[in-house]
Amino acid sequence: MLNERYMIDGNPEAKGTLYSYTTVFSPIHELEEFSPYIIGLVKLESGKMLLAQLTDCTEEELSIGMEMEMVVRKIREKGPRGLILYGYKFRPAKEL
Amino acid sequence: MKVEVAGIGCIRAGERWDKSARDLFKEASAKAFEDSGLKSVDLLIASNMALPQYTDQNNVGSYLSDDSFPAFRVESACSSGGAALHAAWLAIKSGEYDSVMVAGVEKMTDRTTQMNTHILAGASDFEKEAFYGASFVSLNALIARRYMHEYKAKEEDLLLFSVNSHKNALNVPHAFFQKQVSLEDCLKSPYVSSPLRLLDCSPVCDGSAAIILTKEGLVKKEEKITLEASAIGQDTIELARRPDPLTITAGARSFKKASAKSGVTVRDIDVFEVHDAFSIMAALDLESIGVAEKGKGYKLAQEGQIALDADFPVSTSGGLKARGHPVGATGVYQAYDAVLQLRGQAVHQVPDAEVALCHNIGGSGSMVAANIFRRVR
Repeated sequence: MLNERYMIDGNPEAKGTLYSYTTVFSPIHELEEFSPYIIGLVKLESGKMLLAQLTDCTEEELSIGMEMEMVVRKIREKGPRGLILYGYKFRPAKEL
Repeated sequence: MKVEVAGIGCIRAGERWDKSARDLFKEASAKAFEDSGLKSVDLLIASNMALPQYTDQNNVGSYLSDDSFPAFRVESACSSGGAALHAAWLAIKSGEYDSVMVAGVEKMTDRTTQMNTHILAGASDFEKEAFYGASFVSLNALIARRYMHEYKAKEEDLLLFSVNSHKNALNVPHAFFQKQVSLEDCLKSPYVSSPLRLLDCSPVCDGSAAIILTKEGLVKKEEKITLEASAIGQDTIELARRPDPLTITAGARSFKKASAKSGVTVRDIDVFEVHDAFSIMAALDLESIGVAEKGKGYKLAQEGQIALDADFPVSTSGGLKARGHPVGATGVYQAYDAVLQLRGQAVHQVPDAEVALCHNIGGSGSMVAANIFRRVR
């Protein structure tokens, strides 16, 4: 399993609290196969706010203000033979 | 030198599969010409957000005008109409043009829901928002959920704006929806992006509206109506980069400027054509104007303060929600509705309407155009 902790721990750009979230039922192009999915706004420890998909959770498990951590995930594919684009998503912060 | 309204015209927003964007423009503009008594104008400023994506047509000004008059398009997503009004106001105020037609057109219904989702995401920051999966509705949903959390608003409170809009569209010939909706109907509608439901959101539709503005005195009218002031306010395009995602700062800025230019304050305004693309936007728009304090906008509908006979009549012909939201044309429809009220010709007339505000929001709040119309006695 990918050890993501080295990217997250001690990094104020990789941790934050959940500002808001929503489940998208009408997906954006190239994300149809993942629909419905959840996106959210996360207020980072560094002060910045980021918009990203929320992963490894259901909407019921989310609440405004909860601790979130950044992970690297596949965002989209450019068709069956095209580039796979990776980026950041957030998941509920794991208790260590 | 004042800028005057010489004529208005529009078509009923709807599913016009039999007509091209050019046909829709011809219908609306013909009505505006007839209303004005003019045969032509010095300039056409077209407002449209996405004809290239909806029908592969660029060069929109020329597409609409052909060789009738000089023409070009102004685009700022959902506030294209308001921005085009601003451009026309500048053109006439500068003394370079005596008469300008502002015509909005949008042709949305030849594309599937999925394609519309993609095209409308262009109003947001595509690289930073749509790329990660945010549809345009979902950005408004993020705002709505946080707003409800911070200010203890409920879904019902926001949906009352939709109920108000539908009520005001009843029997309005140019309104897309002419059916009332109850709060129960709204609450039964499915989530599009939680917590926003179908009935929180304005419809996809085709439409065209036109208004002819002229220099003072060019056309003799029974009622003298001026575009008293026009101003643009700006903020970041990306929602996450706004210092406060729950404030439409661009709207506060645009209204402040328009207010300063015209001397018109919130209390002077009789008609509020706000940007109710989504119920949450109506509430926030009213807060940005100063009709309600921050975080209290949602109470306005609940307390009956936005009704036609109340202090702050909102969306008097149904607004974006019920009259329709053919995106690039909307700002011009707002002007049409405002002028009808000021002429005393609205189906649901605000008694003795003298000043109307049109507030047109682009994107999730990146730019707002404020246009204040006044009837001069």
